Amino acid sequence: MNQAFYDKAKEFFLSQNFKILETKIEAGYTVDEEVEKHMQADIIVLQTPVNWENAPWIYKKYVDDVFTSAMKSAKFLSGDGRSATDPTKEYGTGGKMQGKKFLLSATWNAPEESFNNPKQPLWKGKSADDALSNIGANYSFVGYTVVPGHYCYDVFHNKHIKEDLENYPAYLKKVFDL
Amino acid sequence: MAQSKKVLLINTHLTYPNWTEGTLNAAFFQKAKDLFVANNFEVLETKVETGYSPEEEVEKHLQADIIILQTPVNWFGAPWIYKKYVDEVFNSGLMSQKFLFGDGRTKEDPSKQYGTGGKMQGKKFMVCATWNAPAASFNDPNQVLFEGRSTADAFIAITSNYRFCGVEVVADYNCFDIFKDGDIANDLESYPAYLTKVFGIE
Repeated sequence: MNQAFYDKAKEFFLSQNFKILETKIEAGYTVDEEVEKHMQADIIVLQTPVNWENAPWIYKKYVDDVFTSAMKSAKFLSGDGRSATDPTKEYGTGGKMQGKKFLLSATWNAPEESFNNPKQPLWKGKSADDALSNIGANYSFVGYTVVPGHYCYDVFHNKHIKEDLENYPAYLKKVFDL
Repeated sequence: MAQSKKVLLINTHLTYPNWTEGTLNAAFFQKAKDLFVANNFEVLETKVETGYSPEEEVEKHLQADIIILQTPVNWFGAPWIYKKYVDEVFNSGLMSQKFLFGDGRTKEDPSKQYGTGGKMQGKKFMVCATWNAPAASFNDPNQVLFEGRSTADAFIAITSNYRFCGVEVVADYNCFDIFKDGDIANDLESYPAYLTKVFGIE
């Protein structure tokens, strides 16, 4: 199913004359190449299943590898934004990736009604974006605009996977102003 | 005499040689250990970086009354070895139905809510974290990065796994701004009193 969403996005961006850079984390990657792909890309889309309320561990390894490399080389950011000479500079404003956009597209076992409702015991009123905010935070930290996530819920019972797939290109068009 | 209570202390610091060696996380871990030993707890320990067996970790979780995760915050989450640990240990606890029956929903009763299938009621979980981020970057809508979010919001991906299995999540303890202006000595010194309070230790 993640492949189906991935293919939909790829097809959409091709139709809009984008050049597509691709990474399949499970198949392996070179850290330096991933940093360069991020430097080149205007838009980053992460396609992920939600395993234990987050992306699979191979994604966090990817982030730790790629973002740490780009921090050391000062390619993604110049620091955490604070300055010894100007105390008004806030934490999280040291990014160099302004103008780029990040989208998270995730598939959940959790049903849509478990979010945004204070009576629900697990998320207690939080949104799906809140639940996965640790992922977007890295991109915000380095200067990206994080657009609202695209979510396919309740994938093991769901009757609207097909619809979610069909509606995905229109969502991409809207959030990226294409 | 009542059977002694058990605490599971998990240290998931990941070493980057000549950069971060884990001294600070080890210091918080030791503070917690000393406190629980002094209060007659049996202490179970896991250092994720040195290896573990998922089945043994499931058993430790089943035995423990209290579970504490000691972690640095790397890229707004625990180091990747921790998510690997969670994926392996919680998958094992799911397959064997030791941590939970399922996601809580049933065909027979549609009022049963998602996330109520846990079997670990009565246990408590806490995160103790070390941050580069300063305390001022949280709980303030004017701050650009967290936009008003709290540390509990930042840890939701970690704590929700425990909540999903029925474990009560208690408020996290944080040592902020460790590379610049943080008051590490004071945060360490105040930690045992915090544990005593949140876990109601006599």
